[in-house]
Amino acid sequence: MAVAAPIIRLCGVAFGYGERTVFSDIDLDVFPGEVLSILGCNGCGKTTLLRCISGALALDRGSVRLGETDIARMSARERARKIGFLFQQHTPSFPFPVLDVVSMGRAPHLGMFASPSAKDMVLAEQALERVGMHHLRDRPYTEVSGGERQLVLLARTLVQEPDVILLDEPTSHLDFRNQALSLRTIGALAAQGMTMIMTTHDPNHAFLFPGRVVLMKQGRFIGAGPASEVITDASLTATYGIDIAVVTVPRASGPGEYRLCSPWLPS
Amino acid sequence: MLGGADKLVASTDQARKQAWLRKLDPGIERVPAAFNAAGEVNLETLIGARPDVVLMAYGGALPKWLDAVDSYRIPVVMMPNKSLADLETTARMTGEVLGERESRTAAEYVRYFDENIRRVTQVTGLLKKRELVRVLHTASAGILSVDGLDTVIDDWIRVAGGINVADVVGNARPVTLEQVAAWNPDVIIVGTAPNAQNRQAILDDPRWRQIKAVKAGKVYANPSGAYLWDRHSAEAALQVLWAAKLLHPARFADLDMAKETRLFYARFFRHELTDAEFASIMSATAP
Amino acid sequence: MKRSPAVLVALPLGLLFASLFVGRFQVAPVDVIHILLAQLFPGAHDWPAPVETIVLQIRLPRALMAMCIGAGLSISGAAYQGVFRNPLVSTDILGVTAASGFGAALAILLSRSAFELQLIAFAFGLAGVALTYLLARVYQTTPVLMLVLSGVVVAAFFSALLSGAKYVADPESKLPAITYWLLGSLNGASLRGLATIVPPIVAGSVGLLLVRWRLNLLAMGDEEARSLGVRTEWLKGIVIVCTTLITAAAVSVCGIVGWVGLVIPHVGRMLVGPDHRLLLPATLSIGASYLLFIDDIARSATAGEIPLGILTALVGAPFFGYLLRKTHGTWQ
Repeated sequence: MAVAAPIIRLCGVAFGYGERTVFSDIDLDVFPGEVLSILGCNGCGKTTLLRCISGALALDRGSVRLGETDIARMSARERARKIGFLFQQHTPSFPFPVLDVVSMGRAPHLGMFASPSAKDMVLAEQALERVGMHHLRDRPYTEVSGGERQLVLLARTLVQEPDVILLDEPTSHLDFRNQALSLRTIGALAAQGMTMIMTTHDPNHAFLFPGRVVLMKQGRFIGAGPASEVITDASLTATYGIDIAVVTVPRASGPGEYRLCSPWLPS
Repeated sequence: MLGGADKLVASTDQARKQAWLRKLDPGIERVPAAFNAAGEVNLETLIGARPDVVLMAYGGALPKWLDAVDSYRIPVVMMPNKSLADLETTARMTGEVLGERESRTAAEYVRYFDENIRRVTQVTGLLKKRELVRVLHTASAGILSVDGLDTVIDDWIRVAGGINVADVVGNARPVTLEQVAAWNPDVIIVGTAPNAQNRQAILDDPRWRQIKAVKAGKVYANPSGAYLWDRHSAEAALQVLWAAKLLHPARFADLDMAKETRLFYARFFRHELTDAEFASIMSATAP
Repeated sequence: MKRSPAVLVALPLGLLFASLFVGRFQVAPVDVIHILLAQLFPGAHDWPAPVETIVLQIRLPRALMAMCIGAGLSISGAAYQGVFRNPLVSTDILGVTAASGFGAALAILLSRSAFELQLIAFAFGLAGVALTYLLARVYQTTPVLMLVLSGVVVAAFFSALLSGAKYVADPESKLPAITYWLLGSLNGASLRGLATIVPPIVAGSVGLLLVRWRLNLLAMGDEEARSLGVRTEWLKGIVIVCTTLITAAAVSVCGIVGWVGLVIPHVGRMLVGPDHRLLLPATLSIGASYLLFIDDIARSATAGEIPLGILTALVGAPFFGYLLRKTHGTWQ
């Protein structure tokens, strides 16, 4: 992995809202095909970092490079062809059919006055199949469950044919089953070689994917590396400011083991 | 007009804006306007002017300031204004309120008014139904509204030997152009300021071209002096003469509007009209 | 909705044809047909001249104008509801109606002709929205909430000016004119007036139709639309310019006709769904038919003219109430 050139490279990135600095001096390389998980408390700046990487926010200092190009010099349309963004929260609007919502991902590939062609609709159907939601294609997307909607929106980012997908807390607001469904789909995409950067509030999720973990606290990286090395009792306790234990449990059936984190409740 | 001008202590915005009224009674500008154009009162201005009585035209709806004025023990006299007879009543009531001298002037005015009406109806009363002229009294061509039944306008049209074709009730009712075409009046009298300009707008509009009055060139601007002649004004007494001559010029050939107007202004407004002033009144422009 | 395209074309055209037969003036239906045929095949005239004026100079321009305005207000309302993601949004959200209304009142106060009134009202409508847009602009963007609040401010300001204009207006002549103008009417419809409103309404509608798919994206929210490569500020700008051109043109000629831009988009969504690709053309047709039908009533039900704004509200408000009951406030 280290031999390939990074697909995304952050150099000395700093950003703040007015006077309030959210983070500064962030350096990060993301390599093709890896799933990078960013862990941290609410308000540590991980979502803002994701938005800076997507180019939605203009940096105060530093640069984000996508391949060879500075992201600030790309148009919104160019960026949308390279980077897909799955938002944490989505306020449902009109009851568009699921397939129409997915086809919206073709926007960066279409002219200002164009609308999706038959070929674009085929791509949308394929994307729905990839996330396992094809059976919902004609349902109003406002009427499907939260988990299903999240996957529909993920299909929409796939239709953008991006090089990188940024996922902001893809499992928040989902029940246990839907969390698992989402994670399975993300895992499947990772297995297909999709590069992804994901923020998550649950360190357990980071164990599920190959790739590195970044621990973030108050706008700084306090640890980075493979999950098995970085996620320890000490690092999590430092990240979240509470006692956390990482335990290894054997699988009930078959070989292998799970690693799990849990807050350590004083007894 | 009745000679009580010096007893006026407050007036309305609208009265102060009437160019001819200001000329005939410059004193109107010295008294404050306690009432605005919408008929709302400034109670402090009104009380400050210390009136003994408030005179108002009553159109069917009691003003919302009535109770407030009443609580200051200022009597309010409401005078009707829906017909020519109502206007005479208004003059008589005003005279009575103002005093004995003014009462006599009012009686003189009513006699004059009656005489004019008699002079006209003497002729028009003998007209056969088919000789009556079908009249439309309209506002502007842009926002088309007309004066209908149960109004002073309807009354003087009838006195002058016409029929008001607008069979809607009340003043300034909006109607469609197609309805006007269906009425197809013989004469159109334009009574919304600026009269002359609105008259021209009707003449210039291709949609009006097939209407009888327009085809015959019988579209006229209504005169306006101290007040709008066609509405509740003292000059309604002249309006009946003017309208009669307009509708039946042959039958009123001996009627000289310039002479009648001069006599009226001299007698009741104590003002000698010049030719230019007469022309200004007839074309409803400021002096 | 397989047959909807044909129906959507046939409905307004059929109503237009029927409207030429309706009115206070007695015109024999056979004369109407003769007059229309004579426009295509010049031949002998055997009907009275006033009849031709009624059909071609009065009924036809008025019917066409009702269609233009109904179509324009409806497509604008549909576009705005998409941009603002709010079912209660109407075309006057950015203050265009209030500003135009004041412009018209001013023109009446100054005794301008009907045509000048139209131009002044149109100019004020554009100026009002420009003011709202400038007021709403923060950090190079115009967030929807800022637009709505600025619209409220500008509308309130022009409403105050309008009240001022009514306050100083002469109650015998000017005040009724302003009042009736504000109630809305197509009384002043003429071929010349039609010729002046068709270009802005057609231009605005074409502009909206061109970006109709992008409106779906904008309806997902500004940030999401941006992540899909949409230049949201541009798109919003295009929509605002187009709808303002349409609404200002409509208001300038017919006064304030409420509820059309609010209700018709909902009717359209009931019929063809929320996709703006279908919705915008559908609202054009439904809006044109609706206002034409309402105006036929306004001009022929009584001897006097019934103000259009009264009828559209009288029909629109209960219908909107019915929609609310039916959908419980959702978009379906």
